[in-house]
Amino acid sequence: MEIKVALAGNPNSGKTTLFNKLTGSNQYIGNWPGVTVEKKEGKIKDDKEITITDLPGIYSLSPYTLEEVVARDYLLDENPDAIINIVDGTNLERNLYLTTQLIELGIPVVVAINMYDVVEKNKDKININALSKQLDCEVIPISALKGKGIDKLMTAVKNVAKNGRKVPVSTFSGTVEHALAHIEEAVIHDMDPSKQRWYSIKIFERDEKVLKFLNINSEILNHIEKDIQKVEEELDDDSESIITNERYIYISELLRSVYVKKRTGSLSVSDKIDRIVTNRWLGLPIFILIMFLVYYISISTVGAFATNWANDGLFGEGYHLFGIGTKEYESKMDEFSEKFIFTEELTNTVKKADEANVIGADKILKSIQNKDFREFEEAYSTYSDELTEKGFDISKTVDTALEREDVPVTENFGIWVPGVPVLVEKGLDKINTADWLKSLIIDGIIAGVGGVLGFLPQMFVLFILLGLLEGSGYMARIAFILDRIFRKFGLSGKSFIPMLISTGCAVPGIMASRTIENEKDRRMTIITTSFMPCGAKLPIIALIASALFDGKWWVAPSAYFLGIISIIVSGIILKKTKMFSGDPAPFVMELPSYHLPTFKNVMTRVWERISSFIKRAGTVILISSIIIWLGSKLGIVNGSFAFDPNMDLEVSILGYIGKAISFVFIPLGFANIKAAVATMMGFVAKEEVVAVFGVLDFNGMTPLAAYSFLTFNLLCAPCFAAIGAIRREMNSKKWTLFAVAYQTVFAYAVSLMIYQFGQAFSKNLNIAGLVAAIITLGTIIYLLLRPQKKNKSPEKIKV
Amino acid sequence: MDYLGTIVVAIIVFSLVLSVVIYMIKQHKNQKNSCCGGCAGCPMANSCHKYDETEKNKASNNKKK
Repeated sequence: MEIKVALAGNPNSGKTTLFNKLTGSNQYIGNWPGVTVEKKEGKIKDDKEITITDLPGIYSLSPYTLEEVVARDYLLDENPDAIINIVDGTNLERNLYLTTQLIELGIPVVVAINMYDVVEKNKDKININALSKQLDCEVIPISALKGKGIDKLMTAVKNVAKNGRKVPVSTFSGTVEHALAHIEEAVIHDMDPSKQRWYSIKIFERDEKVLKFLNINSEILNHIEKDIQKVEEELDDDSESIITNERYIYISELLRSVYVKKRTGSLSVSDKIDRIVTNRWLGLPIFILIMFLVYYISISTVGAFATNWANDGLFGEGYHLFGIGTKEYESKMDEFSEKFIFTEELTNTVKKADEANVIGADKILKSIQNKDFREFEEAYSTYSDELTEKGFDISKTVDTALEREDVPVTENFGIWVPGVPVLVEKGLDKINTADWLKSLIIDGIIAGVGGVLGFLPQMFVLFILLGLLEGSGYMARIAFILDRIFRKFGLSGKSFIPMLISTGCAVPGIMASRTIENEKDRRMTIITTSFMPCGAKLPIIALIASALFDGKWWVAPSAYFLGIISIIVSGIILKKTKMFSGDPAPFVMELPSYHLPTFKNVMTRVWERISSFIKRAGTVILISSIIIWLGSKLGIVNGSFAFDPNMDLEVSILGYIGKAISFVFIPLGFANIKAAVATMMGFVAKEEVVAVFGVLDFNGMTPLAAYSFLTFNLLCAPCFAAIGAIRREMNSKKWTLFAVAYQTVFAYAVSLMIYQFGQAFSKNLNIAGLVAAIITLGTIIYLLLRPQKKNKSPEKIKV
Repeated sequence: MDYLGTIVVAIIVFSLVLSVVIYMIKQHKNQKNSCCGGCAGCPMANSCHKYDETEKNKASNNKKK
């Protein structure tokens, strides 16, 4: 016999954990509201005839939030054979509110008291039999996380499903029960008796959706309205509040007889931690410190070490196994370069270039003064083209020295493992592969895809740290902490939850905005959510931080906080416009208890994100890298269209496209072909920015221009996938265009200010640029400080 | 024979690229998502196409009107 079971309960009661245990699936488990907005279905792994549907976490069956409507509609329309109502055993009073409503539906209910191991650990006592008798339904203690009590639960579910619907017990005071009886008699006496109670209560509460559905005759409606008003006068409250009060009175009396709490009034461990972490004064500094550490550790320390190995070793020339031989080689190379590379002639040329303020000359000079070949090699590979272009060519000296017979060779020290490009090139040479095909594979595919995959170690570390924060329950606190600040500016912390999700990927972050009932706030959240640096933007941050800032500690965290500040600033600006004005939405959320994240959960999450990244690298990035390579090798040579593996970028198709658009970025400091093309390709996928530099080589930017480039690419319109998500959620071309335009203009404004003010401070003054930056800053300040427009009544989402 | 290596490698590379393109097109048609990263682990998996259906219903309702 096929059985349909619904799984309902409060958020964070363990529904999804139980669902995964029962079905064996790997659904995502998060610690903030809005993770499950839609229902999920699965078959019980031990009994395929039972289908279980995981409903969104709800506190009641009122029709106010999207989650409540989704759950309620399912229960009324799909008519499941049984409901598993999972309740948090450590928080019975709040959880039983929903239980009373579920029982009123007439559908057989089995109450699963979850986290029962914690109840027992706290030495609290629940009289299961008495509770079951009072509620007139089966009550089973379980621990979904540990898999205890699950078999007993499913046995109970099968039994109640066989017995079918039942008439719910009466639980309210005499006055209310009397009115409900009248309503049943007058309006719904023809209905199935097991359904009558729920409908009578909803009619009493004047539930709009139910009244519309029942289409009650106006005469009857007036008659029962008198009954309702009589009760309201007698109890001196509105009907909805009366029912709410009655439920809580019933629950209090119920718990008094069945529940004994050992420690009343004492703080749990979670409460004690929250006293510090969500403290009015300490909360924000702690949050800043934690996120700073997360990005610093993943980008600048642990992750950077592995990424350098991946980029320079695995996808570069190669590496010494376990680092054996590296020190000796570098020492020999330093001695060699002091004699044959850092000649007086070369040093003087670089000094002159530095005096002429050629980009990168200072870095090369510093490496010569430090007598550090490794440092020189990095700076040389990045900036030698700039020096050559400006007439300070040092390549002849360097190439001549490196062609000497006595130059130290890496293979002669320790165990040298050649990098993938070197191995592939050797292999292709052995079988006499054509130059163009070699170039496609090495300079196109490996350089592009390898350039992105090289940042995998940093992403891995970041995802582990974020996974630990999510799994511990801290992430939920961030929305609460920021709500206090957001509210001062007319925003709500509820808007921050999609932004937290966006730190993984903007697409689900944008979709998570569905949890926001206020239409204006929802649109504003969609527009600003992609300011958060997603996983795909991480390689850009890491590239700029390592290549141009020597892995400085502040670059990566600054990118994260730039996103948050942009959200706050944009939120204030938009809230003051007619389109978005209104009071901030109320924000109520349950803070889950802190718990040690399980290794399995964290690593499952990390693997899902990493595999998604690798998949994208093997698909979108691969194809885009080939297109970039092709675009840089096809062009106009001697007046005709030609293909040349050694084509100069300036005369290639890509060069022409880059030149056509690069002028736009002149005020931002990165008006060169490569940067322009990289930015353009960033709309395909943000990782593609790094892949473009992998194919075309990354060189020729000052640190200031690089930070301006980073800012623009972090804040401008997101990738096409995210724009598609914006289109779907906004359900309007006009709003989508507005979102994209706003993001791009905002990014341009911020980058402009960073570059032009930076130039002014470093005494490279550009009057026109500075004036533009001052006007931009003035405009933003005006938009921030101007008075708020008058409030309109908030719009609800139409469901 | 000199060109054999080039031909073999070219066939391999071309086949790889073609299979990736076909995979991306199939994925887009079947899942109707544009993420290319798949749905596993996405917090909004199963919610991705709700609005597609809602839009279709709205469009068909508008047509009926």
